[in-house]
Parts: sequence; C-alpha cells; structure tokens
Amino acid sequence: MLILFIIKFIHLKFEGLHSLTGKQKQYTLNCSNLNNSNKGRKGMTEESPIIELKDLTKIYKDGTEFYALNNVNLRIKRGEFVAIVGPSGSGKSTLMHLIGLLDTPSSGTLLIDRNNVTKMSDKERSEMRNRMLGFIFQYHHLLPDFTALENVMMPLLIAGKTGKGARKIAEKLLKEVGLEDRMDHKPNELSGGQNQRVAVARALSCSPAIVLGDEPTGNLDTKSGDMIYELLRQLNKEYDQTFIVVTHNEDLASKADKIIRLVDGKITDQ
Amino acid sequence: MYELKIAIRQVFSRRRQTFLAVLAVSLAIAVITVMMAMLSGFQTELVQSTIENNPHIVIYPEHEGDFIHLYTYISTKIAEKQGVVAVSPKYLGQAALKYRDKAEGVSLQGVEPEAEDLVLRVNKDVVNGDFFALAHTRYGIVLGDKLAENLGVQPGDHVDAVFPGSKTTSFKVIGLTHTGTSADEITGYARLDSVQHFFNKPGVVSTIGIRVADPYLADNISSSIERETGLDAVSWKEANSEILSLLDTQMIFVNVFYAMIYGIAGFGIANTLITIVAQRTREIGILKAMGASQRSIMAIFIFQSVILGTIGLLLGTVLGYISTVMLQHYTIQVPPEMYLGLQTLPLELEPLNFVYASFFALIINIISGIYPARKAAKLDPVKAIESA
Repeated sequence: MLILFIIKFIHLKFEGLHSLTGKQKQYTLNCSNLNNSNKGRKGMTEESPIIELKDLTKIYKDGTEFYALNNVNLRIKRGEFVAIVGPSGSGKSTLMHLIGLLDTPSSGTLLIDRNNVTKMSDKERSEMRNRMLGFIFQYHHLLPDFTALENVMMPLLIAGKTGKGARKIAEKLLKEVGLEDRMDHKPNELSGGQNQRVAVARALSCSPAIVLGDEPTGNLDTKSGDMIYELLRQLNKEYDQTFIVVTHNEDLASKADKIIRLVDGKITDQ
Repeated sequence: MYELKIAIRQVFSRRRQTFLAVLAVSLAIAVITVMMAMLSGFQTELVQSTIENNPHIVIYPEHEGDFIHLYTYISTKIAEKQGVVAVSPKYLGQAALKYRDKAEGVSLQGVEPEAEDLVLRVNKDVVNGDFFALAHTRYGIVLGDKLAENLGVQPGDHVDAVFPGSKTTSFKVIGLTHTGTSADEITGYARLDSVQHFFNKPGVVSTIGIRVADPYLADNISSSIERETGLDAVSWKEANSEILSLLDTQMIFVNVFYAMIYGIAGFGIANTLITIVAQRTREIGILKAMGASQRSIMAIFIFQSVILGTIGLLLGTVLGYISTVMLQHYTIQVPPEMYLGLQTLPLELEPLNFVYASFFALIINIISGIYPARKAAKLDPVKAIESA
C-alpha cells in the first residue's frame, strides 16, 4: 500500500517534470516575444477583443443566493486602458477575479484572446495566468522572504526561465520603475510606494497581454498613487498592453480610455 | 526549480519553527538508534554467551537412556572432520556428595580435562586450584563454588560420592569453579575413567561435546555427524531454538514500538507544515496568481517537509550516535534470570541501524508532508489572497 503510494507519487513527479520541460519552450516564446507579437498583431486584432464576457454570472451561495455578477456582457480591446468603478459590493473585485482566472463563473462564457477559459483545467489556467495576465493588488503582496529583484523574477522562474535570463529582465523592469538602487532589499525594507512599484514590475515581468489592478493605488498617499497611476499609463502606451484597473478614485478613472460602472453586479454605463 | 528555491527560503526564514519541527524527527531517530543499539547489543551478547558457554554441538546416544559406545573411535573420527576444533566425551551422572554431616546432590561430570577445556573453556572459570590437575589426580574433583560452600568444604578436603549400587568413593577437592550461574550449585568435574568406574559403566559416555571453528556452520556439521554415526547430534542453534524464536517475537513488538515513535514524529512534521501552510496562505494565493500550478504548490511543501526531515535526520543520527557512545561507557547491570543469563546489557553501534532509521524517517516525512501540501495546493486563490 505504502510502496504503491510512493511509486504513484514518484510517477506524478516525473510526469510533472516532463510536462514542465514541455511547457518551457512555449513559455520562453511567450515571455520574451509577447511585446513584438502584440505590436505585430495590432492591426489585425483591432476587430477581435482580447477579453470578451458573454452573459457572465457569478452567484455566491452563502445561505442565500447572491448575484455578485448578473449577466455581464463586455468587450475589451487590445491596448485599452479600462477603469472599473462602482460602490463597494457592486462586483468589481469579482469581475477582476474572473478575468484574472482566479475564480470561475457560475454561468456564461469568458474568452481571453479568443480562448474559452471557462473550460480550462487548473494547469491550463495556471499557464494562462503566468503568461497572459499580470496582477497588481491593493497591497503589494510581495513574497516577504525574497528581495525586490527575486520577487520580480518569480513569474519568470515559474514560466521556466533560467535564473540568468530572469534576472536580466527583472533588473531592466526595476530600472524602469526607478528602483535600481533598491533591488536587493526585502519588502519590509521598502516604503509602501516602493513596494507597489516592485509589484508593478512583477506584474509586467512576463510581458502579459493583460494587466489587472485591484485598487493598485488605494493603499498609497495621493502622491505615490498618482505616480503609480502615471507609471501604469505610460507602460500601457509604451507596450500596448491592456490594463484593467478597479478604482474608487473618479479622478484617476477619468483618465482611462474607457470607464465601466458597476452597480449590483450589472454594468450601468460604459 | 523555483519550487525548491521557495521551499528553502521559507524553511530558513523561520528558524525557531524549523528548529522545533526538526527536533521531533531528531529525537525520534535518536531514541530509535539507541534502542537498536541496545537490542543489537543484547542479541549479540546473548548469542556470544550461548556459543561461549555451550558446546557448539552435543552428540547424544541414539536412544534416550542409552549410552554412547566406542566413543574413542567416534571421537577420533569426528575430530578429523573439517571445521571441528575440539571433541570432548563426557559421562554425566547424578549422585550425592557427603562431607561430615552435610549432603548435596551433584551433577557429576566425568571428563578428559584437556578436551573439555578446549570445548567449554572450563579452566577460565576455575577460581581456586587447577582444572588440569584432574588429569593426574585419579580421584580428584573440581566443585562449583556454591556447592563447595553448601557442603562446607575447602580445596584439599575429601568428599564422599554416594550412589545406589555403587561403592562409596572418596574424592579429593582440588579446585573450585565460578560461572555466576546456577550451575555453580550442582557441578562437580572429575576424571572420565574415575566417574565411569564409580557408576560401573566402563567404556561408555553420555554425550560428546564438540567445538567448531565457525559456530554458524554448526548445523551443517551436526547433520553430517548424524548421517555418519547414526547418533543424535544437536547444534547450539537447535538447542536454543526457543530463545532464538523468542528474539524473533521480540522483534515484532520492537517494530511496533518503532512505528509508533515514527508516527509521533510524523504528526509533528505534519503539524508544523499545517502551521506553515496557514501562515503562508496569502503567499500561496499570490504564487497561484503568478501562475504556479497546484502541482508546483504541492512540490514547494513536499520539499519543505523533505528539507525539515533531512536536517532532523542528520541531527538525530548525530544525537543517537553520541547517546549510544555515552551509554556504552556505563555498565548496565541486569538480573541474569530475566535476561537469559546475561549480567550486563551492552550497546552495539551498528552503522546499518542508522541507515534504516534515517531511511524510514525520510519516508515518514514525505508521507506527513502530503496532506498539508495537498491542502495548500487546493487553496482557493481569491480567498487565499484576501486572507489576513
């Protein structure tokens, strides 16, 4: 019994390694060439949206049924900077989690880059999160045991990049967010604004097609917040990535290409 | 392998937690290796003392109550066999010894002193007088020291041997033996021809004792003797089969005990990992958001369990080694009647025991890591990230 279990485990491990090496090629392709392919495809993909929601519904069953999202239909174009606004409990975060593949819808379909992601396995969803999506949370959520540089390298390492290659990309990104002197500091040695900039660099490290920000400036003072926002806007223009940002700040939202207003799980205005 | 990198970093960032988890494994290994050293020591000592204090093979007459005839010829033939070191024919008889107003039963052993000493190392137990002096003392006797004490005789005194139908014969006490066992109360050695004469059985013996070069080949030699002579030859293994099977039975209980200790250590590791998973919930969520698959999350925690286990195992091995060596410096006295005649409990350092203990500890570690690792892998990323 025990031996069988161990054999099964080793087999699983082996399978895992095997598929990882298989993945690697795909990843390096996506991780290093996505910027180019994005630009190359710009003309032809203007028609097809990078994100498409069809009747997307999310129901939480916690004693009573609660419609966090109710038949939401939405199309977001490649390279758009979208702000999602709405009162607390309107479904903003749920929408972010669904688009970010961190949660699954109760019904409806979600297409990312024309792939139906609602039917994907955990492995496929993980891969997609890694190469297509970058997250910036309200709190920086950096790994506390790792330096700024290592945190930015992490998505690249998950993608199967070598340490050397990952380091080069991470150093370049940290330079872009103005933290070249702080690379070897751990999160507890950096200020809130600095940590959030590291988080931005981390979200961008795999050159994702879509960057998701859940109140990325919500926990910062106005000055740092504006700075992060400007940084995002600048990166959006520079790399033609799609940005979707949840915010309470109407001022910031007004600078976006598109504003989506959510009330009670429904889009009221876009 | 970023999973390993994360595992190493997480294990070493919380030193105290790591230390406590490691301690559970190391103590388990230390206890088990010391136990193993005691058991190995006990078994080795038991076998050693059995081999040392008994003839490796004893030849008995074909039929119970009968005697071995032509023993000189048979002894010579056996002595020529390969692997046989010494052969000692012996006449055994029960009689009474009388000295003044005291009388004690005696197991009178008629032996050829030189041969008997080669088989059973009798002379080293002689505390007073000389065993080999029997060879040139027609009616000399070497008594167990307890027997002599009970009779109140000293070397140089004469005791009377009494047996129904035999002529009462006077033997001169020329030595005392001390083995530390109950044999000291009943044993008396005399010359083979004197004893044969006393019991009126000239030309026969009761048994022939044999010492062989390699005690573990005693079985082969004894069966070949049986084939060739038609007599009943019993090796020390056969004679002590009950004790040897008792040792096997004991091993079952000991293994159950080991399993329980490992179980406790395993729960210790599992508990630590569950705590680590709980503390790292948000980080697990973040890793998932970055694209770490369930399998990778699982690998991170299995690695942590293996790292903790390996450190614990190394520490435990060192701890077990030091404890064993320290205990070896003490003489552990035990009551011989409870320990099959052993007076001390020695510890034996057996390198293979450390390998076994470590191997099983590592297996237990991996198994203990599976549940917490699965728990981590199955975490809902949204809830994990939002957790405080």
